[in-house]
Amino acid sequence: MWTRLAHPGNFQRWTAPLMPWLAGVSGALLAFGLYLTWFTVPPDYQQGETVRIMYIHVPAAWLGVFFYGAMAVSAIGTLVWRHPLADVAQRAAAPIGAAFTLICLVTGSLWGKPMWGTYWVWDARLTSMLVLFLIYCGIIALWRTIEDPNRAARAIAILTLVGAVNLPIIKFSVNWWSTLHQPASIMRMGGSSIDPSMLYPLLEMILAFTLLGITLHLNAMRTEILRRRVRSLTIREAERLDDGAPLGAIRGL
Amino acid sequence: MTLGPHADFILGAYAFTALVIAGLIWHAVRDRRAQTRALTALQAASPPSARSRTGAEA
Repeated sequence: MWTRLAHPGNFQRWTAPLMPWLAGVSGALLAFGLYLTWFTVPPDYQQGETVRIMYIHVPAAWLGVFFYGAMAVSAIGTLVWRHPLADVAQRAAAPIGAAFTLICLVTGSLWGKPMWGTYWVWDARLTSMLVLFLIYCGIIALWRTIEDPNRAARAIAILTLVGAVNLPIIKFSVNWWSTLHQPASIMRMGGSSIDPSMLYPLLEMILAFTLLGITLHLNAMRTEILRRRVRSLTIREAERLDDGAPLGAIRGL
Repeated sequence: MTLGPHADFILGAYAFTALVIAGLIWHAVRDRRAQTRALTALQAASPPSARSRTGAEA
């Protein structure tokens, strides 16, 4: 069943009716999350109103890491099974993951200035997130450098898997090193340390961002499949025209 | 609602996020339209036998 669903042609067919629904639900969840964030969440006793930045910073950080994890899984699919959809998924995820990582870095920086007194410190968590952003940029640049998609897929799959070492470093950086960044407060032993009045809107925003990210990713995958069809048709069309052309025209004379 | 002395930072963070997400959506729509147009043009240009070989009708 999985093989049938993952066939690029079938993938286009079964995702087509899903797209408007996913987009609609993502938009509704985001609107509801923003309402909660701006109108129901109380100011933090230490951070004051600045805590509202957390409702975009944390979901963006989660998606930056989530998309890289998805790319690492896809990289295994590319290297082991050489499945074309795995490569498509990986290629579609990179710009979206990079965008959310950038949002995380910029919003974190805008929170840091009033709270820590500085936009940036070379703290383990901040630095590992910056490294994640640079890896994303490297992967996107490499894709544009190698023209043959099959060669590009293998090279990028290897680079992605090497870069995946950074994911546990991001997660545990606040435990392994003495950092300015606060320790884990949602997923930790003994439950969340956040008050429910702030935790539930935060979880709602994480859900909304995740669904938005998945919608964008599925759409990017569908477009990438189209791009590959355009490429293959262009090559066929060029070959067909070459077959019927005089020898001088083929050699560009 | 008053955002206090750090309103610029809060609004700046939300504005930046909105800008990046809008950019992602705009790029997704634009790219999809461009690929659909290119595929339609190629399908129209190529003979029916070539079209069926690539499965480009989906």
